[in-house]
Formats: sequence, C-alpha cells, structure tokens
Amino acid sequence: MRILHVSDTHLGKRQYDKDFREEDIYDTFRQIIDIAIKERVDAVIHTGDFFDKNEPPNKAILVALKELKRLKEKEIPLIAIAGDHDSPKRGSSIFPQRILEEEGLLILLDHQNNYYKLNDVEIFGISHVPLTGVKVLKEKLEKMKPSSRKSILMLHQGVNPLLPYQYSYQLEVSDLPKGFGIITLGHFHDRIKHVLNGGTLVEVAGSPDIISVAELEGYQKNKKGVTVIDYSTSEPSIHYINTDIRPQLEVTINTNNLEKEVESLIIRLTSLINGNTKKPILHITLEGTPRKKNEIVNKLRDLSKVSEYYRIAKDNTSYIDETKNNPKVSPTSSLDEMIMDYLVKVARYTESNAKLVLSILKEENEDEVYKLLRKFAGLD
Amino acid sequence: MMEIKRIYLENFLSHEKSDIKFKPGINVIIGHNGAGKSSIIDAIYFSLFRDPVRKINQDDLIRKGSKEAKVELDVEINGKTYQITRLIKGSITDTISEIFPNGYKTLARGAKEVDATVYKLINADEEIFSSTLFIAQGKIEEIFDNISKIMDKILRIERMNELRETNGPIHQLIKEVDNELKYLEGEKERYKIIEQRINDNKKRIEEDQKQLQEITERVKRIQEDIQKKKTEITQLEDKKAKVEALFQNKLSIQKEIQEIEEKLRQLPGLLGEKENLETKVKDEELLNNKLNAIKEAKALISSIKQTSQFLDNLIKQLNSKKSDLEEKKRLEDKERIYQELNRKKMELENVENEYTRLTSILENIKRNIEEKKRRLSEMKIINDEELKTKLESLNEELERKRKEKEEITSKKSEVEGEIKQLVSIKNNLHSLESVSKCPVCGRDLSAHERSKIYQELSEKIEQLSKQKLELNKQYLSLSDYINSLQSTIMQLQSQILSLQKLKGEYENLKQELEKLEKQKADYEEKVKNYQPAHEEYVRVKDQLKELEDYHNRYLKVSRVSENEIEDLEREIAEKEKQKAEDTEKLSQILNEFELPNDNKKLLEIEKQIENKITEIQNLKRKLEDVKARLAVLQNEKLRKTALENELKNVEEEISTIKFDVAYYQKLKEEVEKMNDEYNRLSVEMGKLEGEIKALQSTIDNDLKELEEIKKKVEKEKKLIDAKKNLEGLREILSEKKLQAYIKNNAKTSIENNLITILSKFDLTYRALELNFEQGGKGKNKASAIVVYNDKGDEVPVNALSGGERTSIAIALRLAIAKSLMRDSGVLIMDEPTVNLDEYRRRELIDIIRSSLEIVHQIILVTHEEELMEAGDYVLKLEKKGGISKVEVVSNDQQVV
Repeated sequence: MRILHVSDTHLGKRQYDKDFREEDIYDTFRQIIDIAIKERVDAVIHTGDFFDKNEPPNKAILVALKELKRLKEKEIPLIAIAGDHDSPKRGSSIFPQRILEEEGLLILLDHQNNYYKLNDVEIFGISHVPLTGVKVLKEKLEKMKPSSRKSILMLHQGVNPLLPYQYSYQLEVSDLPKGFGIITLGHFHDRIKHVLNGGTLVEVAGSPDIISVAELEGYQKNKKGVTVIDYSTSEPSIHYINTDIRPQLEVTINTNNLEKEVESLIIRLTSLINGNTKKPILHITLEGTPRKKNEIVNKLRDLSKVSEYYRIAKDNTSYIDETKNNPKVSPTSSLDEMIMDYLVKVARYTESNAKLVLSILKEENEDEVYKLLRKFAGLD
Repeated sequence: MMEIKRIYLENFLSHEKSDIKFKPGINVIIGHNGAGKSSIIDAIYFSLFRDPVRKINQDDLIRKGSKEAKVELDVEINGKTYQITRLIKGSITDTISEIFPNGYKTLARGAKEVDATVYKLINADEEIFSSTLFIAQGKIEEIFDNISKIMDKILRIERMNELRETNGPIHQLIKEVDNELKYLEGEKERYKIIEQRINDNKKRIEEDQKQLQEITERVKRIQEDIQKKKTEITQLEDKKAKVEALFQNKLSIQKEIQEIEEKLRQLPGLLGEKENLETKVKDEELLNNKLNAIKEAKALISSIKQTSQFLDNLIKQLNSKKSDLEEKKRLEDKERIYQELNRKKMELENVENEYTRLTSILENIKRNIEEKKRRLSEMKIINDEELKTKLESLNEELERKRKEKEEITSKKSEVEGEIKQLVSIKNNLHSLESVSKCPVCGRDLSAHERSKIYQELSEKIEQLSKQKLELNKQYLSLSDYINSLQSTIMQLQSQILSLQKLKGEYENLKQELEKLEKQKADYEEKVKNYQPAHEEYVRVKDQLKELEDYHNRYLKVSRVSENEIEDLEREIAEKEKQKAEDTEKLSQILNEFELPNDNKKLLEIEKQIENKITEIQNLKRKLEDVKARLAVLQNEKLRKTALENELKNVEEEISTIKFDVAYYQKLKEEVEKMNDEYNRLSVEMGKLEGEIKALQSTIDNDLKELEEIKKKVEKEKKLIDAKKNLEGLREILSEKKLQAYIKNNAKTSIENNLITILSKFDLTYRALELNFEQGGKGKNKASAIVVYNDKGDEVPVNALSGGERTSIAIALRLAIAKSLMRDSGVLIMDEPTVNLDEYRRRELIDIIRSSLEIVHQIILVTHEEELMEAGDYVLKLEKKGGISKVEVVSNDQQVV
C-alpha cells in the first residue's frame, strides 16, 4: 500500500497579483497528478488548503475538476480534509471541495464524518478547526483510537512547537493522539519530519510551490513537493518527490556600483535559465548609499530579460555616511533605541544623559521638562 | 507581542457592567449605531493611556447617573499577563499588576506611575499607537494626507523643535543660568563687607571678657565670707532649738502629775464595796453539789424503768421459742416420709413425660383418621361412561350442521352472483339507451323489447333477492345452533375432566387412611408399655398432697434450737442484776442529800437551787469589776512617782545649756548685707555675658553667610558648564543632526517593512518610496508614497485603485508600528467600512485577514453584519434599557 501525501496546493493563489503566478500554481498541481499516476500509488491524501480561498476563481475549480478526473480514470481515490483557507466564513457557506465530492472526485472528511477505510489502512481526518473550537477538537482527538499502527491521521492545524505558524497554533504536540502509524499535517508550508514519543511519525508535506516569501529559506534547504507514504510493512516509511517549480532567488545589489552589479547578475542568471525551463523571480536587497528610486528602477529594467519578475524586497541603503562613524541601525530598533543610539554613539552623551534627553522628548508636562532639563544641564 | 485578553467596563459610557473576553485572530464587535460598541475600544484605549479617544471631558466617560467609572484591561505582553485598572472620580487609584496563575504583584499605583509602566511595557506612546494600530472611524487613509505631520509627531521631531524654540524651555533655562551668573557677581561684593564686620565684633568681645574677669574674682571673695558666718549661725540655732524643746517637756510632765492625783481620790470607797461583795458569794459550792446529786438521781430512775421493760420482752420471747421447739419434735417423723416421697416422684418424672408425649401423638393420629373417613364418606363417585357417549353423539351432530351451513353459504353466493350479473345487464340497458342491441345476445332491440326485457330483469332480481333473504335467515339460525352445540360440548368436556380428577383424589385418601391405621396400632402398643409407671407416678403425687400441710408447718418451726433458748435465759439474768445495782445506788444518793424519791419533787427542788446560783453569779461579776478598778488605781500611783523623777532631770538639763540671743541677732544682720552686694555683682556679670553671646552669634551668622556665598560662587563653574550643555543639546536636536538621523533611519525601516507587508497582501510593486517631507498644499502636496509599476513608472498613491490604497494605508500603519514599537501585535479598527461600497468592503475583509500575518490579534468594531464573516470570534452588542449588553456569537458552525 503506497499513499501520496499532498497539502496546501492553494489553487487560485495570485502571488504579487500576477497571472503567471496563478498559472504556476495550476502547473504545479498538474505535476502532482502526473506523479500520482506515474508512481502508481494506491491513493492520494490531501491535508487541506486545496484552494486559496473559500470562494476560488472559476479557473481554479476548472483545473481541479480536469485534473482530478485524470486521477479517477486511473481509479486512484483521493481522500481530503479542508484547511483554513478552504473554510467558509459564514454559516450557510460550504467548503469548495463539496463541488469535487459531488462529482465523485474525492472523499472529504469533515467534522462529522472523519473515518475512511482504505483496504487494511485506517484513515482518520478532521478538517481545519479554528482556535475558538479547539475544545471540541481536543475531545474528538482524545476519542480517536485506531485499531493498529496501519493508520493515518490527517489534520490541518498549527501544532506548537512543531508548526508554530505565527502565533496562531491551536494544538500542543501533547494533544496529538497516540497509536497512529503516521500523522499527516497541512497548514505549515515547509517540509518537516518528526518522530513522537511512542514512535508515531509526524509528517508535514508542505506546500508544493512557494506561496509566501517566508518560505524561501525552507525552499532553499528542502525544496518543494509531495511525500510518498509506504505502508507495505506494518510501520510506515516515507520519501519525498520534488515538484519542478519556478525558482525564486534573493539577490543583493550595491547602489554604489549599480550598473556593474546588475550586469554581472544578468550574466549569472543567463546560465541559470539555460538549464531551466522557467525564468526565476528575483527578490532584491539594495545596499550602499541611497540613490533616487527612479534611477535605480530604470537600471533594474534590464533584469526583465533574465527573470519573469523582480522586486526590491529590502532597501538597506543608508543615508548616513558610515565613514563618519555613524552607527547603522538594526532593522528591529524601536524609536527609543534609535534615539539612544544617536545620542550615545554620535553625540557622545553618557548613557544616563542620553536617557534624560529621551525622557525630555517624551514628557509633555512643562514643569517636568524644566526639572529634567535642569538635571541634564547638571544644575540639580 | 501584545494581546488583549479581556476588558471590563463599569459605568463606562453606556456600559453598566460588561466583562468582555478577546481571543487571538479577528475579533468582531458588531452592533447597531449607539449600541455601545465603540465604547469597548474607548475603554481599551483609556486603560492604556488614560485619555479618551474622542475629544470629550474625562468625566463625560462616566455613565449617566453614576458617580464613578472603572475600566480593567487584561493584556498579555511577551508571555506575561498584566491587569491595568483605571478609575474616573473613583476613591481608589489606578494600578497595574502582573497576574500569575496563583496571585498578582502590583507594579505601580497612581495614574502617572501606571502610564509610565504601560509605556515601558508596550514600548510606545499614545502618539504612535493612535496613529498606527488604532484606526478611528473611516480614517484608514488619513495617514496619506498627514504623513509628514504624523511622522513629525511620532518621531518626536515636533517635540524637538518645540524644545529648541527661542521661547522654548532650553532657551529659557539658558537665560535663567545667565541671570544666576550675574547674581553671583553681587554676592562676591557682599562677601568682603561681612568679613570686616566679623573682625570688629571680635575686638569688642575681648574687652568685655577682661571686665568680666575682675567682677568674678570679687564675687568669689564675698561668697567665702558669707559661708563662714552662716556656719556660726547654724551652730547657735541648734542650741536655741534644744532649750525650747526641754521647756515644752517640763510643762507636759507637770500636767500629767496633776491629773493622776485627781483619780486617786476614789480609792477608799472602792475598798469598802469589795469586802461587802466577798461575804455574799460564799454559799455557791454547796448549792452546786446538791444540784449534781439531783441530776444523777433523775438519770438512775429513768435507767431502772427502761431495764424493767426490756426484761418483760425477753421473757415473752423465751416462752414462744419453747413452745415452737415442742412442735418441731412432734412433726419430725412425718417430714421424713414427705422427703422420701418427693425423691421418688422426681425419679418417675422422665418416664411420665415420655408417656404424655406418646399419648398426645396417638390422639393426633386418631383425629386424622376421623377426618379422612369423613371426607371419604362425603365423596360421590359418578360413572363418566354415560357422559362420554353423550359427547360423541353431540360431536357428530355438530359435524352435520357445519356441512349444512357450508351448503347454504355456497347456495347464497350463487344467488348473489346471479343478482349481480342481472343488475349489470340492467344497468347496461339503462346507460346504453341509444344503442339498440341486446346486451346479452347482441341482436338488435326495439324500444318495446328493451322495456320488456327491463321488466323481466327487475322481476327476476326481486325473486332472487327474496331467495337470498330466506337463505340468510337459515344461515343465521344454523350459526346460532352450532354455537350452542359447541358450548354444550365444552361444558361436557370440562365435567368429564373434573370427574377424573375426583377419582384420583379418592384413591389417594384411601391409601393415606390405611397408613394411619397402621401407625395408630404402633403407638397404642407403646403407650401400653408405659402404663404401670404412669399409675405409680399418680399414686406418689396423691400421697405428697396429703402430707403437704404437715410439711409447711414443719418448715415454720424448723429453725428453733436448744442453744437459742439458753442464750436468751442468760441475757435475762444479766439485766436483772443491773436493775438491782441501779436501785441500790439511787437510795444511797437520796439518803445523803435528804432528797425525796419522787421525780416531780426533785424537779421542783432543782429549779429553786438553779435560781439561787444565778443570783450569786451576778454578784460575782460585780466583784470582778471592783477588783479591776482597784488594780488601775494602783498603777497610777506608781506612774506618779516616775514622773516626779523625770521632772527633776529636765530642770537640771536646762540649767546646763547656755544661749546668747544678742550675739545671734548681730550675726544675722551682717550676712544680709553681704548677700545684697553679691546680687548686685551677679546682675552685672549677666549683662556682660549676654553681650558677649550676642556678638558671638552675629559672628557665627556672618561666617555661615560667608560659607553660603562661597558655595554659590563655587557653582559658577557648574553654571557655565550647564550653559554649554544646554546650548549643545539645542544643537543636537536640530534638523541636521538627530532629526535627520531619525527620519532617515525610520524611513528605511518603515519602507522595508512596508515592502514585506505588501507582499503578504499579494500586492507587490517593483519598488516604493516614502516621502515624509510633503510640502505644498492641496493638489500641490507631494504624495506620501510613490510606487513603481511593472513598467518602472512612478505612480503616486492617490492614483492607485481604492482597494490598493486601503491596502497600502493599512500596510503603512502596520509598517510604522513594526518599525517604531517593539511589541506590536494588536490592530484595532473602529468602523473601517464606513463609506465603502460592497466591492471595496469585500476587498477590505481580505486585507484584514491578510493582516493577521503581521499582527496576531485584530479587534474590529462595525455595524455591518457582513463583516461578521471576517471574524473568528464575534461579539454582539445591544442596548437594552439604555444599557449596553454583550453577547458572544461563535462563528464556527463547522465545529458546533
């Protein structure tokens, strides 16, 4: 028994509000169906965020219908749960997966029906539950008792500290039920593999394409794709299959040397494109001294030849000449910290005097200002 | 990261008591206009900054009709939970406490201290918060219009300029310092003048001290002289006191002697009285002896009487015992026989019991036999053959009648079929009047023929109906008959059954009876064996009954014995002896005192003697009194002699002491004169000392003042430094220094954050540029943000679509917050959709949801039901009776 784990496909996502990105996402989905057919898996499971929105664009629905039909022709069943992006925000609405279910293209496990038996493998799945429903979710998880380790649990939740998706996790690792051979998770977009106490494998397939810039680091390290779960023995084993997606690169350009840097970047990228069918997306960090933005933008136009899309992601140019011993500000500094930095490092104030100036700036009461000023001047 | 956990409002705006919990994610507060939903945001804001959001007086935040208001905010900041309590007009002060699972620790008290602590915790002030994370009604895009003003405000540029102004506090302070420096010059002059004054005063003190020295020596001499004279006076005064005391003593002795002589004149009279009384009391002893004899005689008479009575009793007892003993001896033979019989009866008792048991069983068996015989005789056995034959014949009859019934039924259905057919033909004939064909054979029919056929059919139907009625009647009577037959058969069957049962019972009884007869014979045999023993037992019992009387009498007297009688006789003899002795003693006493042997007379004599004795005792007491008075007078005589000796001694002592009164007076006058001189000198000394002291204190004050002036002058350097510092600060706060630094850094940081946030909103431009220095006015005002589109062209923000503008405005607010506050985390929006059309509203919901990637809690106040769908957690507000009520509406139908 071999099962393909797919997650977070986000059909209909329009990154940067660009048509080609929407197409990229559909293309990645087509690849996944190809993989399932080529690998002759016994089933596909999808752990949520099938669509990017609860009301996806028609195109996204059309792609889903077409591709899942191919899967059905090969008699490969698809078992799915819904993710937070799929979830309706008002009571009368439904999951978009219901359309596919109506066509017999998938089996959706939701909050009522959460069990499916695939030959000798038991599959449990609960669609995404928001934080407000966590109590009920935990009760449901507690009651889940698979009869053997030939069993899979499908969830789409943030699990602390495994999937600390921002601050919005709903479960702790200790809330995960015991006894399953493997717990497959959606929601977090990087690939993760983890073994729980008691031997249960926790597997996060991640998104098969780059959905957000935050995933770039994980993508460089682990690539993107889907996971094959092999249940030919009583314990599951997994291996990854990568998707061929549009590359995304983070590059640095120094404004002091703008023309040269852009040219050498073009040379670098040209060789990269030759081995690749898809042109990359560039996330540019500017360094050096600041220049007029329109000058920079004009020069960067040349990059269109070697990239599908580029953008200035970070401007680290500094207005203050570093040779004059002005400190660079860390991007996480608060206003107070900036002021303190200047007063101590540039104006050469003592720490205590600098703090006094800071409180003078914040004080609104004139009497207090007077007192603080006297103290600063050394009069009191 | 900051998260709002709970807000509690008490008498705050339209809320009486509302306790509202918040969750991470999107919290939507929904309600009609005026339901009090914005008040919740006001309360959060007020908790943090103690400032109303709207431009109203603090007191107006108190609910109408209440005296004070309170808000309480639970907020989590970097994993720690704090509770901020604010009161308006309350009796308690504001507090902020850290909350632990099992308690809390107050971090600060008082409005100002709480403000400072909140500032430290969220690392931002009201200015930054209200321009970024707090978005007032319909003012999302306001940030574009006022960005330079807002940035100047939140970057504190405005404040820096205020501080630097010519009228500003720094300049003011510099002026103050200048004034102080001028003042110090004057003080230096004053220093010199005071120094001169001190020297003059020191010289005057020296002169005064010399004069004081001379006077002090004179005073010393006078004091020594006074001391000598005073010692002499003291000695003289001692002598004077002694002589005076002795004279006093002499006078008191003389007085006492005179008093004693007066008392001694009573002595001769008292002596005569004493002799007279002594002769009168001599007879007492004689009378006492006689009285005792009478008492003894009375006791003896009573004792003799008692003894005689006791003796009589004893003699009676003796006689009765003697007769009992005789009776006992007479009954002894019969008693022996009784005992013998009793023993025999006991031996027979066991056998007798067995006999009784057997006879009772036998009686039982006999009764049982009687009963069974009676029952047998009552049973009548009827032969059931006859009944069985009758049953058989009845069954045959039933079978016959049933066949008959079946025949009638089939005949009936035949008739019914025929009727039905005829009726149908008739109906056809009737309905198909236009068709002129015979409904039976199909040939053509004339109208006449048709009516004839119709007539015939009607007759035939009537005839058949009659036949059917007859058959029904037969059928019913036959059914009744069958039913009665069936019930007769059932009765017979049950009769036969009960007969068979009775037969079985009869046989059983017969067998039981035989068994019982056999038992009866057995027991009769057994009883016969016990018969002789039983007769013997009855005989012994009768004999015992005869002897019963004698036995009882014997039991009464059996205890009397010979010894007992002897003891009684001995006691009688002793008592008689005692009686004789008492009588003898009595006659002796009566003879000796010549008394009558009569109790009454004795009592009379006794009373006379007692009276005489009482009289003598009174006299005796008088005598004692006289004797005591005589003894006192004797003592006084001795005292008089002693006093006369003492008087002689005192007179001698007075003559030996010598005391000169004139010399004593002279000494006293001399001392008085010297004291006057001493007092005069003392006053003079006091004056001098006072003057010296005053001079010294003037010097001390002057010295102190000098010291102070010195200190002030020392500050001169400090003041010069301060002036330099302040001028330096003014320079640093200038546009080219700190202001430029902050603006540039903040700009870079905000721009970078803005790019990141916009990409999360799926809005990305090639590049974008912030412009804090807008300059110009109206249309000439420079755009706050310039973006570069795909072609690389500059597009001012106002030229973008509405949705994009809203996105950028929210992103810009978040970016500023992220850049300038360390712990952002909450976005609060009051009616963000006001003035937006349907399409823009939907766009905004998407933007708000995307914002959750930057902040993790959003609190949204709205009156539009549509926004409910954006919420993870929905609170509904309604106003009931002028008071706002909160209700939680979960948005997760999926789970519920």
